[in-house]
Amino acid sequence: MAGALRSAVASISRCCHKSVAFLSRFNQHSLLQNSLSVDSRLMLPSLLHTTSPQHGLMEFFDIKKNWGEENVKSGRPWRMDELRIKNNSDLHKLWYVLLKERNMLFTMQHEYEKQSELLPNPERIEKVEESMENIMTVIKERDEAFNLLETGKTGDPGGRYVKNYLGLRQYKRNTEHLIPHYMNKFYFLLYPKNVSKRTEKYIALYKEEQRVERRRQQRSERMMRKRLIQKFPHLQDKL
Amino acid sequence: MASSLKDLRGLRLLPLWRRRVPRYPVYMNGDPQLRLTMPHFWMKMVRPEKEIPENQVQFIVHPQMSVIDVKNYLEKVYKVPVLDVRTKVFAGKDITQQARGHVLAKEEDHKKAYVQLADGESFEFPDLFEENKPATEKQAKEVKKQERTGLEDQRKHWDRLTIPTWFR
Repeated sequence: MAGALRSAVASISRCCHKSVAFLSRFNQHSLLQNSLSVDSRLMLPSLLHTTSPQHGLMEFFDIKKNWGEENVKSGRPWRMDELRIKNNSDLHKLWYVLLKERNMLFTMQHEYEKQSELLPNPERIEKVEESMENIMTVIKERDEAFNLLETGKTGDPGGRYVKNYLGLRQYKRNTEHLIPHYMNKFYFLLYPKNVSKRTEKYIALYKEEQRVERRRQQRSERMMRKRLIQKFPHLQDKL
Repeated sequence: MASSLKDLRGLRLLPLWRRRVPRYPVYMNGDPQLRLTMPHFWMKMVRPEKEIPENQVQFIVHPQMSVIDVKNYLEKVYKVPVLDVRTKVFAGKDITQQARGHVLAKEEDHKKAYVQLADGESFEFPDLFEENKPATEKQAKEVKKQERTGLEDQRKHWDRLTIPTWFR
């Protein structure tokens, strides 16, 4: 019984792959599941792996068919949802595929421009870059999730506000260093603890300038509101 | 307004190939060797301006790429044996206006890598338009063809040139 069914399935699978995939999904709880699934798995096109042929330095160029062509057809970039269901090693491989593709496109673009021509379909570069950025974000998500599970923190170094040598407040992102900043004498040249008294005068002047500018803006807004209400009295409480 | 600007601060405006590569982790003695898992570097092969030996290839590379980076990149990613690499940084030339001679813009600075292949490997930069003529040449031919047909049309309807073409 099973043998007969297997041969029948094999004969169908020769005709079309889709029907077999459908059959195997349909009979998941039957006793014949094993025989069916093996046959269907062998025939599924998605499991047929082919590595790209190695051409050495010729990989910096497009395939010979596309040289001098006016239009080169290409697909869409990889979406985030498609990349999320892939494992890390697959993403790693895909990164290198995209890296080579981008190098190829840059080489072709440079050569086309040297020959005073335009690269056909230059949007391919942006497509590759978009998929690369999507890979980066997906890996960042995974990193963050891992860090949250392990340490309870996202792993982002964060930043802080510091006073620079001019005495002005400045946002500074935290970075890795061999020694802490209080042991680094060059750090205190850029971000000293106390600003000298000579600069204090100028800080006061700078702050005053900012204050005056802010007040001028507020006044102009107030006047504008007043004028509008004179013109359109129904806006009394709405402005 | 201010809050929306704050959100925009982290927005990446540059394309990926223009950005600086991410910082390497700080290395201390005794640490395992640093490995690049996802390099952001790019390289493009360029046609040599002068005649060069068969085993030499020229690239324009990412400005942060070192000699060792170029060697590793070609050997690990492209599986090409490399004997020697030298790099040189070029300043972009000024783009001047022809008539008055003042500077309009500047070309980009770039780093060039001169690579010598090992194991008797040789490479010749291919001619892309050897078989398939470029698009502009084809367009020029079409324009000439159209002109010729126009002249023929004029000769044919010499007595009705004032009438629009549709009524001829």
